[in-house]
This record gives sequence, structure tokens and C-alpha cells, in this order.
Amino acid sequence: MSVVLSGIAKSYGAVKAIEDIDLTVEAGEVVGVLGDNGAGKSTLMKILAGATAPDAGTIMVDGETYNFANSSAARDAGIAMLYQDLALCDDMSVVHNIFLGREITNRFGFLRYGAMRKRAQEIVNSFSVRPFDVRTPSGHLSGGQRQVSALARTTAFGSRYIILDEPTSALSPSARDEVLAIVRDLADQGIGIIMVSHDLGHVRKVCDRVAILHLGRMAGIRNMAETSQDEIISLIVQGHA
Amino acid sequence: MTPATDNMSSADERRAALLGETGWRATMPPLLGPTQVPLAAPIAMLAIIAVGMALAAPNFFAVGNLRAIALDASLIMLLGIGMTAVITARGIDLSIGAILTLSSVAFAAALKDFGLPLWVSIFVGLTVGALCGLFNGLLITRLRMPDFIVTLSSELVFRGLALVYAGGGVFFGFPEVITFLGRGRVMGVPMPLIIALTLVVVAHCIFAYHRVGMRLHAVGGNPTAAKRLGISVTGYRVGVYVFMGIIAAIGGIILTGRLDAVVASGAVTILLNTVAAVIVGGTHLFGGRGSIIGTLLGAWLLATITNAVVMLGFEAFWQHVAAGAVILITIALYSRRNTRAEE
Repeated sequence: MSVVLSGIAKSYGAVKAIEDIDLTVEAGEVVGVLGDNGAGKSTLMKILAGATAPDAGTIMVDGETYNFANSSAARDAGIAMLYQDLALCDDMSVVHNIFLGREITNRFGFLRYGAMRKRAQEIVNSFSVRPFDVRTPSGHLSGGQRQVSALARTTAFGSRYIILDEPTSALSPSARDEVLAIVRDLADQGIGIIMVSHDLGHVRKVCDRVAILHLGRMAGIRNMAETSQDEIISLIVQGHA
Repeated sequence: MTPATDNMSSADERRAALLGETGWRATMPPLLGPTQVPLAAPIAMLAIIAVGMALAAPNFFAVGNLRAIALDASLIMLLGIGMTAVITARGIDLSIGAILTLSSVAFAAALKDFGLPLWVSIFVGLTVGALCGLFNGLLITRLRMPDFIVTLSSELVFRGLALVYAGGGVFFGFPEVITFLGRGRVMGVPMPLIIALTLVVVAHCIFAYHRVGMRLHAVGGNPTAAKRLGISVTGYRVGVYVFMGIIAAIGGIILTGRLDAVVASGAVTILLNTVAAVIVGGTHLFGGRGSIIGTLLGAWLLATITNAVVMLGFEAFWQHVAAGAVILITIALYSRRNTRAEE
């Protein structure tokens, strides 16, 4: 069970955003994706999430090759992305946000609110955080609770691989710890996590492996237990150790 | 996954159990829909006016007067349904008066000039309304033009077309069915009110409890998120303008029945009253939060103010001053509430 990216390339006009990228993420592991600004992290994640089509390369999910037409196709294949801005509608409750686009309805399209609310509360309660009422509008939640709501949306529909874009940015220290604990919990459940981050400390805390991009190319992939902070920084800055 | 209660205090456990409550309360959707809309302000204003009028002019509550208020409120209420959808989806339609007029002229022309059967003529009017909405929606979404500019311009285009066709003339003498829709009563209740309330109930159910309504709020609240989640933001935005066009055409037919005439230069002030009713009813001017019930209250409040000014013996011009003042007070209350929430 794994996601395998092979020979992925993408250009925007004459600019090569990423080139010849190979990356494998196994179920149940957390892989950090690091790189300086412009290294190609966002492009790679957008391709994996189906938001952008690659110019070359293949994506295999659990042995099947996919060519995602859009993010819905990626979600159907079991890949969900949690964007840095969390993509929440602040005026809507957590229940509505979790089920937006995949509502539980009767055959006439009317919402089965009770079923949605029950499931949403179960998901939120299942995380190792202080539970909160899923009827609360997202705009009234703390930063950590908003992150939990967005994570709940990515896990609500059986995603097997989750892409997290800077999940700990703009959070309080306690909220960061909560989110990192949830990331580890999800991996322990067998979900493969790809985590884009600028914070090396958080990556070291939670990731099993780290993939480092430099100027659109894969500079190296290292097991976290077998690498050092200096080596990672060299790969980020120079593209080689 | 680690169970939620592993590292929690007993207070947290109790809270978790509470949040997982079952029973009828847990299954009830929010009454007003996916977003919380503050209705205290229009309700409070209505209550204040009611108490004031009870003391100052007791015949304010006479059946005939309440019926007059209902008649005035019904057209704004009806148009407010469409405008609530448009504004909730982060748009604005400044052309509703012209759509109402053009579709009325089309209906009247089909019936009077081309001799088409009544029901076909009604269909022609509704189709013209829908096409006007489609025109607005496509320009806004396909050419990425601002809603404000597009609908301000199309107001001139649609009204101009109506004037060109009618040539300053007036259509009058409509069939009894049409005048019944505008002037008739069923058990003493004006038909326009019955039509408006029926559509309010249907629209509220869609807006608050249906997948379409939920997605509409998301399209206005966070279009980027909605798009990422596979919702057709363009489709919804075009859809609300088409819906607004059809609602304006229905309003045109009712107004035709009420006046037993179609005047191409009419329905000029209807826009401001409709937008005011929607905003006073708690719908957020910049999208993402709206309520059909709030719009109903807003329309009722505006009609009540207008009526109260007349009942108190002021000159009719004071209606505008009073209506403007109440709108400002209501919006000030909303702003204060929002500021507190942000703090």
C-alpha cells in the first residue's frame, strides 16, 4: 500500500517548476517535504492532490495508475489535501464544513443533519484533543480547533493518504503539539501522510522520512533516524550534502 | 487512533459525552440554515414600532391596515428571495427593476400584441426574466466582470429595451386571472402575500436544509474552498442570477395584476427597497451568510415603517427619511455585533 510518484515534471511556460521527481509514500508513514521557497514543493503537492496536471510522469496509488483530472478524482482515489489556509467557511458550522461537497442527504437532496452532526462529532471526539461542539461556526474556533476541523474533513471519507501543507503555521505552541500528535495518530492508523513544512523541528518530531527539493529537483530522501539537521539544511540550501 | 478520553480529565469526558448527545435535539438542523444570521435587530425594531403605534395610532392594527402593509411587503419579500440568494453567493443584482419591467413588457406583448394564450404569455415573461439573469451571470462569470458594473449596465440595457418596445405606451386591461394574482384575496388574505409566503417557505427549505442552499453559502463564504471541494462555483453564481431573473419576472406579473397595467418606466425604486430588506434581514452584504426568514422580516419592517409614517399623519416624503433611519440603526447594530465578535 503506497503512493508512488515517478518522473513527475511540470513547467509553467519556460520555467521548469519541478523535474524528474520520484517519491514513494508508504501507508502508515509520515514523509516530510522540505525545500526553500521556489523549490517546487507546492507544485508537487498540487499535482498529487489533482489540482494541477503534470507534464510528465505517473502517479500510482496502491498499485493502480491514475491521471487525476481534478481534486475530486484524487479524493476518490483516496488522496486528500489540507491546504495551509484550511479552506473553511467561517460562517458555517464545523458539521457543514466537514461535509461540504459530500453531504449526507435523502434522495431529494435534503440534508440529513442529524447523521452529519453525529458523524462529525464522532470524528472530532476521536482526535486526542479537548472535544468541542461541532455546531460551532468555524470562525469562532481557536487556531488548533480550526486545524482539527480541517483534518476531520480530510479523514471523514476514508482518505488513505493525506497531504498537509504547513499544518502547524500560525498556531500556538500547545495547538502545534496537538496537531502533531494527531498527525502521528493518523499515521499509526495506517494513513500515509505527506507533510510540507518550513519548520525543521516539527518535521523531526513527527516524520519517519524526509524528502528535500532543491530548485525543482529531488535533492535527497533520508530516513529521519539516520540523518542530521546539518545534512538536511545542506540539502535544502545547496542541493547536496 | 488514540481514544479521545485517554489523556483527558473527567470534566473533558463529561463534555465529550455531552457533545455526543443523542435524541431529537441532536438531529434538528439549525432553524435558519447553515449560517447564523442575527434576527434580533429587525425583530426588536418591529416590536418597538408595534408598541409605539399601539399607543399613537390604535387603528394601525385594523385588519384593513395590516392588509395594506402585507400587500406592500409582499413584492419586496418576493424579490428579496432572489436577492438573498444572489447576495449570499457574493453577488449583487442592480438590474431587478429593469428585469421586472422588461419581462412584464414581454408578457404583455405576447398576450396583447401577438395574441398568444395567457399561459404561453406567462411562460414568455418568465423566460425573458431567466434570459436576463443568464446574461448577467455569464458576463460576470465568463468575462470576470464586476457584478456591480454588469448589473448597473444591464439595468440600462433591459430598461432601454422595454422602453424601445413599448414606446412610452402603457399596456392595460389584463385577464381576470392576472388581476386576481395582484389584487385578489383568499379568505381575506391578499394573493400577492399568499404567493410570496409560499415561495418564502419553499425557498427557506432549499436555502436552509437542502444541499443546494448549503453549497450556495459556501460559494459566497469561501469560493476558493468551495471550488477545491468540487463545487461548481461558476454554475452556482450563474444559477443565482437566473433564479433572480425568474423571481423578478414573477414579481412583474404580480405587479401587472395589481396595477392592471404595464408601464415600461415603472419599478424604479424597487431595487433599493429589496436590497435594504435583505440587508436589514441579516444577510451579509459581502456573501456567505444569509437568511430568507430574515429577508421576510426586513421586508415587513420596511413596509411597516412606510405605513406607520402615513398613519401618524406625516407627509409621504418622511417615509424615505424614516426607512433610511431604521436601516442605518439596524446596520449599526449588526456592525457593533460583528465588531464585538471579532474582538
